[in-house]
Amino acid sequence: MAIKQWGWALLLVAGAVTGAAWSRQAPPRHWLGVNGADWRRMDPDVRLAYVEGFLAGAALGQAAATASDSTGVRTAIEKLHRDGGLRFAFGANVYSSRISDFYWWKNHVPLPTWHAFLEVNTALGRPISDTLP
Amino acid sequence: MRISSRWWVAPVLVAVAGPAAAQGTGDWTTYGGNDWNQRYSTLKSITPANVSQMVPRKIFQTGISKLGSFENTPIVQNGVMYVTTPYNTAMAYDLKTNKELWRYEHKLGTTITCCGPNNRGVAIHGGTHVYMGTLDAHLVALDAKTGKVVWDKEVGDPAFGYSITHAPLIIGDNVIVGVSGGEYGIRGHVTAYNAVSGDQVWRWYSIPAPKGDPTYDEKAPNGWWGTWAAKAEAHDLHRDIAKEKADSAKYAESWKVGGGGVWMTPAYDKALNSIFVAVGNPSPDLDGASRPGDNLYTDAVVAIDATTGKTKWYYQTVPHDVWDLDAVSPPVVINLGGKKAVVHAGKTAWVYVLDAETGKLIRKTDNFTPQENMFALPSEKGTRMLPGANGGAEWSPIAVDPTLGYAFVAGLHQPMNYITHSAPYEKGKLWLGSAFVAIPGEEQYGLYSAVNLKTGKIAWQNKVPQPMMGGALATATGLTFTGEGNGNFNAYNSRTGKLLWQFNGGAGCNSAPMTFMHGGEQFIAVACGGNFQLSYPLGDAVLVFGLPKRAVAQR
Repeated sequence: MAIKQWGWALLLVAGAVTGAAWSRQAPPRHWLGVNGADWRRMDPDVRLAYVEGFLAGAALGQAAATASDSTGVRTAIEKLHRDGGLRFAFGANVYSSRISDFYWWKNHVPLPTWHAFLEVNTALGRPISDTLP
Repeated sequence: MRISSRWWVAPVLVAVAGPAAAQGTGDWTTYGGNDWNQRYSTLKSITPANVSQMVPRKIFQTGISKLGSFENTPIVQNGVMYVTTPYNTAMAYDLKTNKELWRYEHKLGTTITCCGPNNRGVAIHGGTHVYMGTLDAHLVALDAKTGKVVWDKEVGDPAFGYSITHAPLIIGDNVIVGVSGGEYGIRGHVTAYNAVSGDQVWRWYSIPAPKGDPTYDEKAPNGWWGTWAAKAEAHDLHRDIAKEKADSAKYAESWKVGGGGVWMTPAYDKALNSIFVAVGNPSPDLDGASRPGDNLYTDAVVAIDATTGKTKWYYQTVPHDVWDLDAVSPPVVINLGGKKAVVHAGKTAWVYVLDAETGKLIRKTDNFTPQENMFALPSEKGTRMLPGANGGAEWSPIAVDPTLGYAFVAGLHQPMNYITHSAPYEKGKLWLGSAFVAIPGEEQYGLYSAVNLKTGKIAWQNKVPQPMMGGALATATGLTFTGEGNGNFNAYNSRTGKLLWQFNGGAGCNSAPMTFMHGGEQFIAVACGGNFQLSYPLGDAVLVFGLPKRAVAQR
């Protein structure tokens, strides 16, 4: 019983320390400020998840610009995907790989990730001007 | 088609020598000229004595408006020439009438092209079907007589960076095709499809998986991490292996997006039942920190069992490459002193001669373009290292002359600084380009070399004004042919390197030439349509050279 109590106490302390460390490492911040320094800290699977979230958001934004309700958005996304019309048309592995090389340059690191996405997309032959509605 | 008596002799000789080939009929039926990729022809009408008389006899203007790197080697079978263009239009020409028989325009979906749009040609099976890989990573089977689609398979998802640029290879009833996309986080592979049905027979992954994965490869027991090689043969790679090992847990999944494109048509040896593949760069190209380990099988020549698709052996030229000095030029099989060898011309500027049965290095030849400061790590100020990131030898296929034991290599000399950490911001540029920067004011040029595979020595070299990209052809009469970015197409004496003939094609002759027999005459063909990557003048013509009709009559 005593061991169990000590166990709980240890867990609480460990949780508090971990939480404090986490909060120091990753304070809440607006996504607009995420840049190359953050990218470099991300593990590869975190990068892929981050990119997939970005791609989903970008597709949603693009489709929503042409639809009046959620059904319309869904139809628009499916059509954009089918027709190769998505502004960010490639898979997460493609963007993740290219963004890693983009941020390999020190002078690119302060640039926000959304900027990196745009530059990578342009380098992949999909400049933003070509895909605006 | 009439076959003169001397053509009965040739197939017998070819069979003794080893590679399955169609040169006995005078046809050129596979990208590399025969299964061994030798680009060596037994045709003997055009000789060092008469090559100076050679003239253009036919010009096939493809009429394609969307130009790119015209890297095609035409295929000829039964009086028909098959040509492909950079954006995947395939066409057939009747060599008797010089008329176009059909054309197939592949409707491209999503595509990513690392180094400019290109396609290097078709494969043909039984004279009935031709096969083309496409920029959107499809393998398309076409009816050889009509150009109609027989089947169309997606080999890889182009949205995930997969594409195909090389000519497929036929082995028995299988079509073999690899994928490009090493710059975009693919996991490369080579796949065998049934030529008739299009069903997948096997798939071999160029990035070996760790134990526990269904695609685990027992020839790489430590997955793509490999053996933590500190050296490439005797050359220090300057790796921080302790740090790489410490980081390997963090990047445990990196093999899934490890790159390893297969840019060029493999070679095949029937007796060993082996396919020999050159595997390209790891991904990401520059950020080696995020891919600890040797990054197997990138930058390697690999032997694959043609029946099962299992790895037999591998030889990695540059473990953990951060210079983009990958294995691109197609492997070639040759008998050398009674031993069957696999030969690969590296971007490193060495020709590697490997034992075809075991993959052991027999010899690494003298460098065929200048080397300096090999494998020095890129630095913030820029590290001068030769060769530059294009090689050495790029994708350009070599030709071999088995009687001389020579390999003919089209090489590039482009002094470059390998730079880290800070690059000028160039909107829309692939950043690879700015990591490997040509040194202003330093001369760039090409070197066409004959490399003695038996001794490892350079037999002769010819300097040309521009870095070379395209490839070589050799013939049994002692001729070798190659093209230049300025449009020159050249014939040299194989033994001495003496320039015997030259013609300017008007656009860069940046493809690998071929030769064939038609109507009792030997012809040499080359696509002169320039190169996107090196900014050589673009065009859309296949030039076909032969002796003047008068000379043919007098022969």
